[in-house]
Amino acid sequence: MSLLAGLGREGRSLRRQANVIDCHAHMGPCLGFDCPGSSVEEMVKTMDRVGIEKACVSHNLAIGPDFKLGNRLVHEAVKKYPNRFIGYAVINPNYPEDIENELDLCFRDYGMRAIKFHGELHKYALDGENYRRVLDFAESESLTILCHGLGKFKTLCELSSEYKNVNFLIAHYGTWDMRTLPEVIEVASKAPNVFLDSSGSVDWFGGFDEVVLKVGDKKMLFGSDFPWGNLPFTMGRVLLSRISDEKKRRILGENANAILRID
Amino acid sequence: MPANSEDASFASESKEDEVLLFDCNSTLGRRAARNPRSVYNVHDLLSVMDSYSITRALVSHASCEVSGPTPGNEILMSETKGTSRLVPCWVVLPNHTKELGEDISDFFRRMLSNDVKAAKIYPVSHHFSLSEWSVGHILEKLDEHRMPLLIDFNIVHYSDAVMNVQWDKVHDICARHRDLPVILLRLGANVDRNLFPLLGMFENLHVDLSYYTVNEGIERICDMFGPEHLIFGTGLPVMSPAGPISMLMYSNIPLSMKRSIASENLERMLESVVEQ
Repeated sequence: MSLLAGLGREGRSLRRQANVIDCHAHMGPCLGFDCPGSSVEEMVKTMDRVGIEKACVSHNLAIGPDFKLGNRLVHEAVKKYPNRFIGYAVINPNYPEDIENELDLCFRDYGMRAIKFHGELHKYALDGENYRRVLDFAESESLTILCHGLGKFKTLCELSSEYKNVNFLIAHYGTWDMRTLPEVIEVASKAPNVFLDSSGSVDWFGGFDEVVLKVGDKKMLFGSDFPWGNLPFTMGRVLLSRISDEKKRRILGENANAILRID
Repeated sequence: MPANSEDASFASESKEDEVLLFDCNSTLGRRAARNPRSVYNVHDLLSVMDSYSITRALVSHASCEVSGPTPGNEILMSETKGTSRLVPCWVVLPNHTKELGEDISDFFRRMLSNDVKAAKIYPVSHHFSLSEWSVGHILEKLDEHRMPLLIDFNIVHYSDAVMNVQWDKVHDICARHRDLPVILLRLGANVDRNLFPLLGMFENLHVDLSYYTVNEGIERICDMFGPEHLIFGTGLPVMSPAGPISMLMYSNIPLSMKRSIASENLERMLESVVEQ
């Protein structure tokens, strides 16, 4: 058993063994059910215990009912813990009157580093007109967009080709169904600016290893989705996978450092 | 030096820290749909268990999930014969259609004579009600023998629980059969609002860890209801054991509680089965 697998099997902190950046986390009460430990302070305690250096967060209010309030709360969390949290700006395309102002606020004032699309909860197509306004901004600023809810993979292929300066990070490696994995693998393998986030509650046996083998470890970023789910649960699939520790370290943090340009 | 040697609970590398894993939720055998790396025979399942340091597993036959108890239960016995790490669990269902045989007592005698000490039901896949008029006669027999009952509600994604889990029926079963250990399999992150009142009422209600992905969820159940309500499980070989293992081992609870959840709770249940 490798060093990192051993740490995962025994529940030992990753601190000093790997630089871990969680590319997909939230904060605040979950939508539709109770998720404990979702306050900023509680999240920091969990991250300390497990050995997570930084978490890239969007607020659950932002992907849910109020994106502006959620963005402000993330800004306050980042202000309080500047070395622990990195903010995603959530843009709800159903409020087109706010898009440019909110982008300006998030990136000029709030210091956010990337964008989160939640097309599934906001019920909006990835290539819809209002998301394109955000994509135009991301293209001009060379930003990363974490995308949950893709619609057809063909759409992602087309957009990744059209917006070459944007890094598209596919939430939950794009699928809850192993039988759609070939599509995920194909698009992530072919498009240089498409990456995968390792989070997702359904963890088919061997699924993570299979995807990493085919897309390459440089295309996968560790994400937990916590506090929607359990942080160590999603971390386990990386730590206990059959890939080398060198590749695990890339997935756990080095890839995020490079793609999100974290200092 | 351990990575977090400052943490007293991990201050030693010795076997004293070892947590043995006994998986309550595993299957053997082929399935209609197969994921790329999924395994189905004894040799490969044991090999996978070895790679995750899982000591033992309570297994039922995968074919039973759709085809019912026959012939999977019998095949399970021949496949696990001589393999003490795989502990057989038979799939049962209400016997109004005589799928367990003419006499339900004969069926349970056969179970016990085969040293089978746990039963699993699939109320969703097998299309039967958990009401007393449907399952009462089976539960009476399980209760009589204090034989653990595992309930699989066919949950893949946690959103399935909204439709699949019959909470009122779980309440009725636990209330009517208070000595019957009930283990709910693969409950997801969204169940606590229904689960907690039941855990507060019933000592005989348990949850397996295979998909209980609530953030800080293990800690909260241990604190509010006690670690005896949690049982380690994986969903192998369909689901990965990595998450449940990591979730348990990183949980912020004492080592003694981890051991209870990892194996001792299930071992105690199986040892408490009344064979006569």
